[in-house]
Amino acid sequence: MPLARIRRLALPAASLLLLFTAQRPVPPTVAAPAPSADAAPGVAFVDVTRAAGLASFRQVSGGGPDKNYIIEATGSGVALWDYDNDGWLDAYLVNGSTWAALAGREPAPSAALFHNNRDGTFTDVTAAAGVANGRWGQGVCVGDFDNDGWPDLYVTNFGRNRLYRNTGHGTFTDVGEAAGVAVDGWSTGCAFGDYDGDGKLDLFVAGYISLDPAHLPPAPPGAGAAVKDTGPAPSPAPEQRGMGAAYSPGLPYCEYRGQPVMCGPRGLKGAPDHLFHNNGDGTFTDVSVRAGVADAAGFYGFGVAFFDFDDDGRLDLFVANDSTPNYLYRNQGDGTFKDVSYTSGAALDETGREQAHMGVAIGDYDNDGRDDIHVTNFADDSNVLYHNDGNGLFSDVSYAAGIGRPSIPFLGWGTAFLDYDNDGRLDLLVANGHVYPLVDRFDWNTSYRQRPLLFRNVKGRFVEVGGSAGPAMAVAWPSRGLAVGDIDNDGGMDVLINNIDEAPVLLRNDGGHRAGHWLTVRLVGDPARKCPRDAIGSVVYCTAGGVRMRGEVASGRSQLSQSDLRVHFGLGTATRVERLEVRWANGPAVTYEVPAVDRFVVIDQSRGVVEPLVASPR
Amino acid sequence: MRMRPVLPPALAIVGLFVSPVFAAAPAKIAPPPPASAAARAFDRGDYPQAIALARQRLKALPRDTDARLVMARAEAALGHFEDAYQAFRRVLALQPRNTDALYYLSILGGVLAQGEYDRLFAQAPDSPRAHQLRGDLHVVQERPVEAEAEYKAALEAAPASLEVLIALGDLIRRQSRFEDALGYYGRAAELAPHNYDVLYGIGVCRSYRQEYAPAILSFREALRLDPSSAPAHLALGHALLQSGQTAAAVPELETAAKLEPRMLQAQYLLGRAYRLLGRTQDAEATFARVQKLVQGQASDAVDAAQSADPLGQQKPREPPPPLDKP
Repeated sequence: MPLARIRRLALPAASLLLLFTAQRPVPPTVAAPAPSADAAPGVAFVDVTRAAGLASFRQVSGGGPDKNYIIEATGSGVALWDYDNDGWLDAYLVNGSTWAALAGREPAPSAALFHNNRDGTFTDVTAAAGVANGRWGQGVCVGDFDNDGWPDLYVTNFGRNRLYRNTGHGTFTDVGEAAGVAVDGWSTGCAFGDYDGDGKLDLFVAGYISLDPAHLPPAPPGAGAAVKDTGPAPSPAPEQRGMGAAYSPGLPYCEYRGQPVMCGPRGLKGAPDHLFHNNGDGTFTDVSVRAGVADAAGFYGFGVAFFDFDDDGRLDLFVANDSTPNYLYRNQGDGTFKDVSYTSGAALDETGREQAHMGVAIGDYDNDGRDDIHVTNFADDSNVLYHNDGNGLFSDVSYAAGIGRPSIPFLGWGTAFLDYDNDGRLDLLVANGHVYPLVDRFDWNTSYRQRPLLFRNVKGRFVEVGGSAGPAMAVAWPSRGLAVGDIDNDGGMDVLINNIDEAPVLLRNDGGHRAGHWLTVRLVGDPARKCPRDAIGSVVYCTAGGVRMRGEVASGRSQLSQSDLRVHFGLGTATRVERLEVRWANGPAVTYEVPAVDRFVVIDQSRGVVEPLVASPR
Repeated sequence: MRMRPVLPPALAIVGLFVSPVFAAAPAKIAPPPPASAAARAFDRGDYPQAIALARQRLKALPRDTDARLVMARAEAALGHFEDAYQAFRRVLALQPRNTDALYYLSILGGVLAQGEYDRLFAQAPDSPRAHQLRGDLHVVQERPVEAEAEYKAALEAAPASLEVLIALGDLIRRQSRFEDALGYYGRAAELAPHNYDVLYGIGVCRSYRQEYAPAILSFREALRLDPSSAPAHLALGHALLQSGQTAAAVPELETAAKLEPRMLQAQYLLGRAYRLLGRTQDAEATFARVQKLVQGQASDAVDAAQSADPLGQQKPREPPPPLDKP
């Protein structure tokens, strides 16, 4: 062989060898941080998905590994709720869909309702319950809209939404169309809340993008080949791509770090938000425009939360908007809301920048009696923590509080405040995962699968504790929806995460119930006193060890997800509750005596009693 | 200027009479293949066939933009960038707002630019300038890892390059690696202690580390060098606001907003400052401007197709936000 030819071959061969053998740096989104001295000793999250029987569920988003259209990347939410009122949290996992299913060419993937067997395992009861959804599912929220004592389920879709009314017999009926809440289009976050104080739960539904499946924006080059390999019936057909009415050539919005990727949300037309007033007869009326929350600007809504940020007894509304400013609406008490997004400081970050907001957590992390806001964001940007300063003002304290810098490489979705170590201070959990699979092909300091971020609240400042809180916290998943709740009723807050295109992950909190004392409160409201039966919107203040903590009964939140409606307090070393005060939704604050700690109590507004329920630790 | 050929009148008259004769006995011509046939070949990865089918169709229907798009994409896939470029241009000549053509042409533009830079680099592989230029290209293409590598290579060849030190500092600062960025700015400051970019960069890093006092000093010094810098006024205003010096922040933010009336960040922070000072009416007026700006930006993004000249004659866009995202 001529020498010149050998040389020509040698260089590429060497380069290729280098390519395949070179050690790529492990991005911080995968690599577990060094053990943290700040982690709570003796508390660990353990992945019990398989043992619990939840591993059989597979979330499906598009049907292939590539994410060529934005609908394939948003994943789905999850709910932890007690649908059968047996005192044990059940799980509902929303599912996505495929293009072929959307076109009716194959069965749609099913959502899943798992009944808690009270022994650490769950049974799939989806078919019997009739909550398969069968549409391209996005989000979920829980609320007893008809005040019959049985929690109902609202599921948002890319397509028409569903309102599953709980019959009380383990089955559900989709009454979305009859109730007038089956919004078409692309809905994301939702939340029940009684904004007008009539004792009946109203419903807010966020809209994301006006996307027509028949006129999608261009897929990245090569997507045709990728789609071809994923199944026999790829859709949309190649000739249908492009030139969608919704799409405009906002070219930077179809690229990520110079690489062509799916388009959006920037450059695509936003979908409106909806507020539905509960008429009390099983129907709702869309009052979005009248109430001033219709999203005329067409922002891309994701996470939603009703909460009373100014403590005037009326539920206000926060909407995390992707790539656009958040909405914070102050309830004016006359059926309308005032947009205080900018004046409050909760619309943009501390430098006045818009961020790609996803999920939202509400909680009083510094025990000053006011609700603060945490919002997850895209990668290369920090998550944001808005401290409630009072007087209607919020300050972005992300960096000062310690959650800013660690979150930058992560693309955050579901998030919740929870006191995982029962020390009386709310910690913060974030589920992560990138939207572009191609990030794994580059040394971009990030990854498609990303580990969750657990921040422990150490005297008001958050410290990321990573794998020090159990090996499961060091595992990377492509996560989206996240819900927290005490699945085994042991006093420790557990976590359920819905992963895109994969099985979910159930993280059991081992040791949390021993790390500190605790109290969990279930409220039963009295509709005759204008409080919804499930007491959504009620606030509980628990004083123990001289610390006054705030918790509330809340629908929706996180990333399109629903957490435990019971209110959990970690009490630290305190062995008694000094004061338990309930500010019932639309009602007065009432103080109750709590006989002992480390237990569940039920407080019934109409009977004015506290009923202890003995917990059943493992 | 090319003159349009004019048919001699006599021949035109002959043509009038002759053409019906040919029309009466037309030759049998096969119908052109459907555009979807070329698209299917493209999706199969059979690019030569896609080109062949598209050409057949274009012969009969030269204004079929779908077929020409498929042809252009197939040419690009085969590495025939010049042919692809011409084909995309033809599509845009027919449909100036064709989103697919604009989208793929933008990608192709990046590929072509990369090729030119590679040629430049091949001519002078050890030149720090060539590394720097390649770094600049990667920055534009949002490839920070590659950009950093090129800048570092440039710095190795020319350790005292102020430009490269600043470029590295800026690049790394935008990734929120403030300690590393301060290292490069520090070296730059040794070379040029009174450089605006260095002082501004140091100020931003200090600001994000909540070291507001040194940040304020840096921004003040930067403004002494360039009093008309809206970003520096904004950054100073932000640092003052964060450190509780709200009254002092107001004039800085007002100046930034005056210099750049469409700078969202300046307006927003100014509104916050007014609000904190109890200047409710000023705050409301400022937040109203913020709302207008945000809505304008959102609709700009969606309406870009309607306002843009596809061949690069877009109206100049608003200046970028001054404070880099963390």
